[in-house]
Amino acid sequence: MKITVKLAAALLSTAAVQMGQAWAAQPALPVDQTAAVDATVQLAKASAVLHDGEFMGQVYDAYYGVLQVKAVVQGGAIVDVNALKFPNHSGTSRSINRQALPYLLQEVVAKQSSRIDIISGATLTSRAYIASLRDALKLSAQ
Amino acid sequence: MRDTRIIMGMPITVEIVDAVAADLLEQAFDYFMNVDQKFSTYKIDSEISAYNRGEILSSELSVEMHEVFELALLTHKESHGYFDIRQADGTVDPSGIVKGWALRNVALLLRQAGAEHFYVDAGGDIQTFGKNAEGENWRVGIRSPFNNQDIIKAVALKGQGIATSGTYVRGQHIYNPHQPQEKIKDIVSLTVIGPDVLDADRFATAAFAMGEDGIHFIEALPGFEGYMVNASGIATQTTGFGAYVIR
Repeated sequence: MKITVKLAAALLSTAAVQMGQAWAAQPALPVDQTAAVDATVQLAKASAVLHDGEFMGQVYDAYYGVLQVKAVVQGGAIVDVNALKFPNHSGTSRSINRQALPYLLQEVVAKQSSRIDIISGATLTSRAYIASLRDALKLSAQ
Repeated sequence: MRDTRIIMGMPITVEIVDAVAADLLEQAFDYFMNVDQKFSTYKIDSEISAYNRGEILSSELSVEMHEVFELALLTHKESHGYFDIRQADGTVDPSGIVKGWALRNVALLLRQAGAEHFYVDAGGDIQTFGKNAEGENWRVGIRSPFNNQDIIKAVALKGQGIATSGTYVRGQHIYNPHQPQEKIKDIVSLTVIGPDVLDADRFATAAFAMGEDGIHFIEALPGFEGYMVNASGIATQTTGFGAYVIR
């Protein structure tokens, strides 16, 4: 399964839930920048009750532009999500979007088979370093 | 020509495509060996160990040590305090800077010796330059945090550096899609592409420590792109990352 999200994850989640629940009309929600990851979880749950087909979300006012998505469902699972409209029409919006948390592209990771020269990955050394750093941060946050 | 050695506790690979002096690879590995001798906190006779035991004063440190300390301080500021080489016991461990710094310096050494097409890879952090043996941009895979044998993304680099910070998930108790509540927000891998590997490495380490906010820290850095993977297998990428992706 591959989900590609190129818009506010919070709004996307709303759209996906609507699709799974017979298109109940819902008011536009404010963009909740803190809900991006939670929304991804909700999206995965919503996919369990979906019917196959292509479904359009409603058009939402995302403050600096409008936003609308289309979800493609196959075998009861969301296989793709496309942004039909999203706020990138001017340099200003693009600039705002680079700082708006939910606007980053998300996808489910999948094994790739591309031919490659080199591999980038974390080493055991850096792993230990980071584990230590994170422990320290947890303590400092208490 | 290409060779791999284990130095600084990690595999280091240098590949040079150009026809250059045969001992250039050896010079590159010698540089890493010297860095290890000076900066290793595991070697009791290293400069950093002597400093941590209080046997050398700050004013007596080598130029290289001062340079690394200054880079650590700069990274501390740039990462809003998330990056810190100071340890709880009062010692300093600059290894979070040293690898990227050594990689950058070896790349400079190779450039000065006339190499134009090469890469240097220290434990998965890489500086590329020029093209590969086929005349293409260097093709770099990002290793899966869930399976050491797999790659989850392939990017084409033309002279950039790339660094990945992360933890590799071992065992099924962490990666369990049916009980995601506990671990789902944990970040397991964060890759940064930047103009050079030193900066990519510094920012990857700092961003990883920020958890799920880390990718937004990278997003806000001009000239840097990132790819972050969480424990549930969801990846988040910065706006310009897609330009590097091989499809």
